[in-house]
Amino acid sequence: MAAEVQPLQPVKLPKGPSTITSEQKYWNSFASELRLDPSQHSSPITHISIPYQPASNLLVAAQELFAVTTGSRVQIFSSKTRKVVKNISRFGVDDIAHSGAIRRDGRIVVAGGDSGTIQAFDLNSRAILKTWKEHKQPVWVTQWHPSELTSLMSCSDDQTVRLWDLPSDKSTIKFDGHQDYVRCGSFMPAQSGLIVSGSYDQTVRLWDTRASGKAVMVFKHAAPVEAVLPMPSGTAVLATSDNTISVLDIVAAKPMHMLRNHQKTVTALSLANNGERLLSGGLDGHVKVFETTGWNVVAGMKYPSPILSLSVIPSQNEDKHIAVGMQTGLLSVRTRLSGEQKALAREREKEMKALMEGKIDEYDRSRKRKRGKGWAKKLRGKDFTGEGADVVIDGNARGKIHNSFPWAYALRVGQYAKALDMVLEQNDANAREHSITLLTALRHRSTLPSALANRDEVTLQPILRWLIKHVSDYRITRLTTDIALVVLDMYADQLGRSEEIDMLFERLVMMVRDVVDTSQTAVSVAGVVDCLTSCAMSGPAVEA
Amino acid sequence: MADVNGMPKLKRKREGAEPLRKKVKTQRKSKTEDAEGETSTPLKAPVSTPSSSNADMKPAPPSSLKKEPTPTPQRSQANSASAADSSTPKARKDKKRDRNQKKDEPKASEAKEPFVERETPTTVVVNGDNADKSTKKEKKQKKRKGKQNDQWSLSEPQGGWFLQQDPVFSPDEKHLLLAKLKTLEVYATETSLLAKELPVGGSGVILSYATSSAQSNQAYIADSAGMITLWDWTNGSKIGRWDIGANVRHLDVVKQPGSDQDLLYTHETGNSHVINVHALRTGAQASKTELRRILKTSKPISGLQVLLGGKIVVASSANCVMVGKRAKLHKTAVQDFEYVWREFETSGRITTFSAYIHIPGAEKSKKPLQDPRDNLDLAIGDSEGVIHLFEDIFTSFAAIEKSQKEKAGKAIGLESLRPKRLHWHREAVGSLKWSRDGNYLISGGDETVLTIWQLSTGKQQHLPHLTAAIENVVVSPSGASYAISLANNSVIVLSTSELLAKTNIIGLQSRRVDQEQQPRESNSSTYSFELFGPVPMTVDSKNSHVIFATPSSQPHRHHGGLLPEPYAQTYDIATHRAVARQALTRNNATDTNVDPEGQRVREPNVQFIQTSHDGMWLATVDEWLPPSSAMGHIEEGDLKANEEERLFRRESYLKIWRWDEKGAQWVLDARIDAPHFHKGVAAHARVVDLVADPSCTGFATVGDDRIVRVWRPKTRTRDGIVVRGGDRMQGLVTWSLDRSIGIPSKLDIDESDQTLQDLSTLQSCHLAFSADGSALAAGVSWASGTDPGVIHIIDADEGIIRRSITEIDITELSGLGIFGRYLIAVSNTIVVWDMVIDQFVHSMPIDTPGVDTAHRAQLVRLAVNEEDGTFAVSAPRFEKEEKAGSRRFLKTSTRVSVFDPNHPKALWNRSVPGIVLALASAKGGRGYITLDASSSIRTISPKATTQQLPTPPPETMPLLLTDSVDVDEIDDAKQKPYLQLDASEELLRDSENDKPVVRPEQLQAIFESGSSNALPAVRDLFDAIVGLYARKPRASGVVGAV
Repeated sequence: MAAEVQPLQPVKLPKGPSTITSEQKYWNSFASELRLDPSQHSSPITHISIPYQPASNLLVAAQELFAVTTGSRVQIFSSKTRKVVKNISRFGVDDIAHSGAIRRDGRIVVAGGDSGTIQAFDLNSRAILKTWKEHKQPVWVTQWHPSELTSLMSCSDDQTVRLWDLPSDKSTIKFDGHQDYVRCGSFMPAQSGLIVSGSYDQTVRLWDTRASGKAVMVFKHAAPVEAVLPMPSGTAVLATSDNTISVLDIVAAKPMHMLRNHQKTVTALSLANNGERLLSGGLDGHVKVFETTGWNVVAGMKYPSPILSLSVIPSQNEDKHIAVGMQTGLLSVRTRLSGEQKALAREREKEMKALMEGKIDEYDRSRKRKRGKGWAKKLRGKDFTGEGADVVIDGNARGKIHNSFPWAYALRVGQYAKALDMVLEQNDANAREHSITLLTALRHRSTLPSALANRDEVTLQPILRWLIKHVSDYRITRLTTDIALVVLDMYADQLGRSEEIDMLFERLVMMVRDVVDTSQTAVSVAGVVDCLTSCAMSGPAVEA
Repeated sequence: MADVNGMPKLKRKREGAEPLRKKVKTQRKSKTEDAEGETSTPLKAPVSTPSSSNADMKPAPPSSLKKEPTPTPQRSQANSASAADSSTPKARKDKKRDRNQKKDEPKASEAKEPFVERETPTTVVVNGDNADKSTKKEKKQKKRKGKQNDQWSLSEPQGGWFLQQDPVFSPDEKHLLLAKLKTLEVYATETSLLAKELPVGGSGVILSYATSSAQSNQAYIADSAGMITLWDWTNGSKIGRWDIGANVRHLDVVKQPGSDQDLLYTHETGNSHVINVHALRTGAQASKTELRRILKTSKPISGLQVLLGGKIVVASSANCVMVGKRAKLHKTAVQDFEYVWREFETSGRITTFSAYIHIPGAEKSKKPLQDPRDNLDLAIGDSEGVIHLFEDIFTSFAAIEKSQKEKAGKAIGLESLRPKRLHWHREAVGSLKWSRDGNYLISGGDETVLTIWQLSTGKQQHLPHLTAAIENVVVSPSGASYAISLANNSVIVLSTSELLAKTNIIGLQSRRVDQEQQPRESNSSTYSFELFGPVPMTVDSKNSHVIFATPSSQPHRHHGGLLPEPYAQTYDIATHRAVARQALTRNNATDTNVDPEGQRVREPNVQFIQTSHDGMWLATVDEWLPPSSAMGHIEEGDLKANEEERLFRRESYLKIWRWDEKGAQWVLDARIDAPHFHKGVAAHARVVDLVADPSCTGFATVGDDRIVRVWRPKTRTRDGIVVRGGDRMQGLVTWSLDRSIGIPSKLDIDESDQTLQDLSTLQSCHLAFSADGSALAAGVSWASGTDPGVIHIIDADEGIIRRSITEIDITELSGLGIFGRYLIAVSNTIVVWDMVIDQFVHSMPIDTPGVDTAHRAQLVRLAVNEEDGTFAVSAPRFEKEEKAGSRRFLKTSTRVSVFDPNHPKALWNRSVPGIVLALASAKGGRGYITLDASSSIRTISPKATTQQLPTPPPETMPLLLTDSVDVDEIDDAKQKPYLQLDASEELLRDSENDKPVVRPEQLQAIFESGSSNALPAVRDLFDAIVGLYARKPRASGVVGAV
């Protein structure tokens, strides 16, 4: 039976090695970046934290807040507006705040300081609720217990980890054992009653809150431990020491993976995508995204200065912001806009642009003309003129012919020159693909000469311009050379009649020379590299 | 056609006509098949009336027409002697004399015929020649009987092309009659299914056929043995049989005026072209069988149409149309038929014509024969695509004849008739028909478009893109549908109202080599044999399907070179039906198929097709080269350089298709551009061979860049995670290069200056996988006469050449196979090499008469069947006919031999008519499948003997392998469970359900008895492992055995 007309298959050229994966696309979609200096003195941002969010707690409304600790202040940001809500700066004169943390009900903020004090503030009034001065050295970690509202922990440079109860004046439990500064620590999730801490003595220790005393488990590393992060399952802990991230299995009591993707010390870890991705930030200014099953790097971002703190801030069960604090005091909040918001933002941008250019009337008119899809339906039948007139409905017995591009139709009906003109007129994103597809099709049908023949000064130009543009594409060299040869074959004797054509030919010649030079260089480089590699391969054998 | 029922009964009994009967005898074959049916009843009649015949007739010379099917010179004399209108009422051969003469001949078996009471239909012979044939036939039958005792059998051919003749509708339009060379097939139009098959026995092939106009359930079939047989196609019985001793090219049946019996208008060929009218009668009326010649011409007649019950006969030759009108209409006896012929010439070559009688007024059925003025409209299609329309041609004839009376009878020029010109078709008009009411013309052309012309308005309706040239168009008896036969061996029935296909009959579409394209005695030395090159074919191991490459359209008129084959057809051998056809490359189905210069746009040609071992993947290699005509822009006069430039523009693709269960089709999964590549010149290299890995999914190719590449799928992972997509829950798969192994030439050609000349020294190369996929053999023969070539045995896992066998001469390598421990190479001889002991085993010669060694490599095929432990070789034979006939084509046949590698003698030999273009082993079964140049498939299968049934089925190869595993391999097996953690491994692991499941713990239990020095005896270990692996197959596997 009659074969259906299929659209012309586009020619797909081989792709280079770097393609954007869907994962990269996702992380690139955190595009709307806000950069600010919250301390105003360019003090490094040492800590970003979000209130602990239980996975399935529907009773307590999620606190759309996050705390950024920089210099001598803790700033509370709203994760809805990315604006500062509260500014807590009631620290000593030369005190530096550390580890501001919001309790999960959003009422109390706790923070440590360089002086060794731990302070609890009421978030609304910013009043100091409690001050503990038990630590003799700077306190680097304060963290609220995930389930108990009054319980919190702290880690200090005095080599201790302590557990506190909000009403009491003294620490409830003190864990001794670290030999050096304790710079990181965290409660383990899932009612395990464990605390994990990492220290500059190159160990990660697990403490049992039900029994004070020695550490339950110790993992020795090769370098000071900068950050620890328990996995939500409670069976694994991530710890960073120098430029490696180790995945520690606390059930089997052995490290599972060592991730060595950073160049410099990894300083911050954060989980994203409900614990399926891990983000790590380092002094090399890179944020790397790992997937947490095979621990492969799936995406990465680069920041202008060393990263000290990092947090992925979720909102309504999906990641909303990536907040990164840097050495230079810069806070970067990258936000992923949802589809609707994106459209709105675009619209707003357009409107602003129109306003700036003074074309707002035009813009308004164009807005109005856009009507919904149902508009045509509403009007259907309104033009009915009565019984007298016959309405002829033309049926298409052969089914729908795929409505492809006009140039493809021209090609199908044998108007080769017209198709070529059409495709060379195009200047949208598909222009290159279309032109290559068409020219390949013309070559397959031996119709290149007839498509290129009988052109005048004006109509020959687009072809020459196309050649100049594409002659350097090594993937279609056979095609471009063939076209150039056909053009030369046809129009060589016409040279010198038109200035513009002559100029284009000259440019083409220059382009070809360039390409030839480049490829010669490439070949000679390849030769040298071949030589080197073969030397390297045979080298050990010679030594042996 | 005109209705002749209403005409007055003018039938006259003409006793005297009897001697003119040409028929020796007619045979009745009754349904009961009893002795009565075999008695030749009419025999006495001719003998009893010898004298009365001469009374009426002009005495005919006593020459025997029977002996030579061509007209006798006497008859031509008679022709010229008769009236100037060239109709010859008299020249008849005297049958009776003939018979008498034969009686005098003692040698002819026929001589005794009148005295023989019983004869079987097959032995009815007329002259000495035929007698020879019959005895030969008997001998052949005897031979076959002798062969039938051996273990292998060759099936009857399946498939084949439909005759290039208008398809015939049954009067009720429920059936469509189509003929192949040996059978008349009746298809039901409603279901498109084959309803009945009438085998036409004997040595001849069907030339033409037509249904009887008197009895709608009867059909006449004319064959090349000079016979016309009458069949009842509804029940498949033979009714009558006449020997007319001539090849009937066209056959038209009308009712004899004045009776309700058939008149056959036949166009018979021989030294000259003749149109005869036959009245063939059976049974009691057999004596009334008559013959009348109405036209004899030297021009080859290409078409014949009979209108108004024989009142008007139109015939066409290459550039001439002859219109005959019967004179003396009141005389309805056959012998009184006289025709006035007028002919005129056309400028173009006539490809088709159609005539239509306009009956003026309403008195349609009222004595149409009496009407002196029949408006005959004639439409002629020519090779330029023009349709010439002549309206009321007799009036024009009359006018012209009046004006130039003295020149009457001479050829009339086309222009003087002033035809209308209808020109839409770009290429030759393939077929042309009037609609039943005469208001429309339906034409179909080579550009695959069916056009319907409304003559009153000049409007056209088109049905484009029928994918193949239209060869025949037929309007059904009621006018409700059109039957269209296409040049891809398919017939479509369209409804006239909405032009939708109601019936679709598809035959085997593979490459057909017509006799005109075959080598002749005169050119056998220069013949290129490229037409007989291999057709890519593979057997789908999932089912009984055969997949092979087909051209898009093979018009019967086309006798050019090799056509590209861009499509694949799937044919089910079990049900004898074409299952599917799908495009494997780009094609011109919906595009203009000629370029501006009028050259046909060539599609890429599929060179290789292979299915994976599980039938889930299909690999194809296609190649395209720009035509040399398109290389004008680099034309520099140097032919060699031009050709080289052309080769640089080769496009070659390896495509991997995945079987889509839901859509029941192959879906393109991966396309690998330039699987082989000449780096130095940045050009696609030619792919020389493609094989599938028989043990796991993977394919290997070798190209003329001298690299063997192994392609395997990898489960696609992105960032360490298996990518799932579409309907595939198992994860997407990426096909990539697994290994590439350079094959060094023995010649040590300097690699630094790789020019094309240098590379073309690779003359032929073939690959073969061992059954377990561990070894890959690559046989390379170089174009150097001094170098006998080399076979490399490559370790497929490591990608290292383990052994290079130079001891075998494989200069003209045409096939390579590995079976078990044996390597089989087919070149000048068939060589069997034992790879285990590394020794030559034996060799067998191949005989290909008529083909020189340079061409032999592309004509000989090899297939290895693991299942039954044999291999088959087909070798073509081009032989001179014993008797030097007028046809100087060589007789073609193919010798197919089945070998057991253990024996130096062939197990079985058989000569197959025609040239085998593809040979493949039946995967997962026993035997072989051949595809020949007439597009028919035959299966060669071993005969199952009764003793085989009670024994368990033969052990399969994997079992054999595990039986003989050594300790190293068992270690491998132990590690397997760990490896299976890998997702891709899991996916691609073939499911060998029949194998016993051996858990790693079981194996471990055997080996964990302590350190290596404390292991039990090797024999005990072996027994323990055999106990694990070689336990009885599961019950389901041996149902037949129990």
